[in-house]
Amino acid sequence: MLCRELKAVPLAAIDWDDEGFAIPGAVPDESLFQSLDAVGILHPPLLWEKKPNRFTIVDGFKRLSWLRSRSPYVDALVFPEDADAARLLAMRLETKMFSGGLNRAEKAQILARYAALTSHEDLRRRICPALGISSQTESLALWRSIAAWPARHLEALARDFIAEKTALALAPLPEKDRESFLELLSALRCSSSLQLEILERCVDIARRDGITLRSVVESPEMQAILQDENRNRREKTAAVRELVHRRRFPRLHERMEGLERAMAKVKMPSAFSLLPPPHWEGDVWELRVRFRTPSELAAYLAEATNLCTAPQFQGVFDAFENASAVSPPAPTSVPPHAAA
Amino acid sequence: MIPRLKNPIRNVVVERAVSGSPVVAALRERLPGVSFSLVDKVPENPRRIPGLLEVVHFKGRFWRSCPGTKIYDCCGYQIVHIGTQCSLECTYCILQSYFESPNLKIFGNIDDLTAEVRQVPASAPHRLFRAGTGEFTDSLLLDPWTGLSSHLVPLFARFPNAVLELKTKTDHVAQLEKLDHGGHSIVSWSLNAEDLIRSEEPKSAPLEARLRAARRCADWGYFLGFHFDPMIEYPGWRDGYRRTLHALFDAVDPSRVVWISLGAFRFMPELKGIIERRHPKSRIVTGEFIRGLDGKMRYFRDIRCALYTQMVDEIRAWDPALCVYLCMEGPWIWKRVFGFEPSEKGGLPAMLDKAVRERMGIGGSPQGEEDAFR
Repeated sequence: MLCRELKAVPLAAIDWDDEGFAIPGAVPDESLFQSLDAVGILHPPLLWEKKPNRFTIVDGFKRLSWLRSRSPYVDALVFPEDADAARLLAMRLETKMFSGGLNRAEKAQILARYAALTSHEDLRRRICPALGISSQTESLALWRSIAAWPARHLEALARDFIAEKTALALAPLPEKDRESFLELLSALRCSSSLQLEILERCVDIARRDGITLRSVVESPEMQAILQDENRNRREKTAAVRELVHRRRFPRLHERMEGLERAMAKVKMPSAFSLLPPPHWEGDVWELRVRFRTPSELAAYLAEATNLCTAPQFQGVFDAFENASAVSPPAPTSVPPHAAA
Repeated sequence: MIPRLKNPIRNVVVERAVSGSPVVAALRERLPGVSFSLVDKVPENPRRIPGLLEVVHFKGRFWRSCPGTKIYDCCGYQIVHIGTQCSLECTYCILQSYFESPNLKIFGNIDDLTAEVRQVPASAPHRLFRAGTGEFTDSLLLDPWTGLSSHLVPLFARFPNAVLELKTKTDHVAQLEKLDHGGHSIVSWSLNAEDLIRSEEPKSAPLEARLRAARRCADWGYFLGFHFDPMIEYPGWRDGYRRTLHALFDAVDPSRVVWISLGAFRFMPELKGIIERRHPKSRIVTGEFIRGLDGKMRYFRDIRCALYTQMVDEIRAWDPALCVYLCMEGPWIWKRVFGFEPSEKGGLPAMLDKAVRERMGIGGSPQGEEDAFR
């Protein structure tokens, strides 16, 4: 145990610019400040007397910043000048790690700071599980790079605007690309799976067309959706998904629209649902019928039989099959392996 | 002449149990400047080490059936397992996802291999076996150094009911010249549009070299096969594939060709990230893919049909009787491309057996298959 002593330390003797032990939360901790207002400081902050009568904050940055305008002194546990900085940092990280309620930005920073202090094995076997993050080598590298994101990006992570998997997928991207995508996600606030779907498709479009992710996100069509005041977030998300699907799969999208038009022409009872082969693969269709009684089912089955000979119904299958015989137009003009 | 590899072998690690193997003796003789080390067991090593060749004592089954699916028609290929991995580093290669064994590995216990190979065709004398070594590695990549074909090709020559297919993207064929193949070996090449060979298969032999090698093999009496797999849709694919086909037609006599297969690019979803990381310039994963019924990503049906239809039309004009088949495709695609489903011709394996019988004169001529490919 590191030797420390409870002392009344003048706040003026604290080196406020030294953030060597800081793990910024990226977002204001309102509940902590409300607690401090209510009952004051319960646990003394930790300081290191780095030089005689000059103190560095080891733990308690938020508490001390709250106290700064309220008192000239703080009762703190003070480590002596000869304390080992690495051990102090490890202690700080352990304390933080088990303090609970960490946001993802804080987790990333704890992992990154610990990476300089301990072995890869310790990171994988002990630190990652304690933080609740993936211990795969690849993920570790990504988390460490996330820790170095600019504050505004970490804030989006801390505020849960982006899911963990999205953060990991965004980590290797250039900062400007990441910035534009974070703005998109901040506007949509959609689920983790939708974030990943939109991101993967946008990245694929950028890669295929030899352009940046930013230019995909900042396209006039995308911006028009985001700035449309008549749409709520859910509607914007749906519109963005549709737009991204159309750009990512232009020919498939067109074919799906054609099939939808053909299906809309079929006069089916509302109790029927006609489902084409999933993903346009295979040749097995599904007709679902909702019914209450055997006689109702019998009536529907009779209607289904009639449906089979209706030209509009046949038109659905023509719309599905016939275009397969027609050569699809060429893909976009960028060759498969052209230098970006 | 021994060819040069773009990723030359620099170190060979040999398991002690196979140190006396003729394969190891051949390697020692033909790789004079390379360091050899003996170990009891080659350790599992998830790290890719360029230039490393592992020669191991394989304890599993050397002869196995190709893992097909019920949904997509499988050709009934039999695998003769000679090793794993490949140093050609094609961008689309499935072997990249075999993390537990990323380095070139061959099986040194050749006596066990040949003993097992001897048993299988003899166990079912009325069945025709189409076997090949190119499932988990390139059949001829290391052959000039290992001499493995000198064991397998003459062995298959003695089976009345089996043929051996050696699949490659190299031009490593010189060692095949003097072998007693008995007309039972098919040397086959994976072909692609030249743009794609340059961009996605940069360490394999150029198209011209593959076709020159094919012509030499035909001159030595071997039968030939060609596999356009994976076919990749890219701007200019029509001209690209047409040029390759025409180069093929100019290079070889169609009567020596047993089959041509077509397979559009497909991949397990996990491979996408691997391709993006290992080959950041490649754009092959940005095509219009859907998730197939077997879980693999495939071009959606219109694109596959367009790719295949052009190829089939061109090949039919060259040789209307040549066996052209689709690799791992659904009957709904066959119907659109050929106008029939394999089941109407007795199934894809029967169609390929028929090609062997008709082109190679091997395996008799069972009734009821007269209509296949017509």
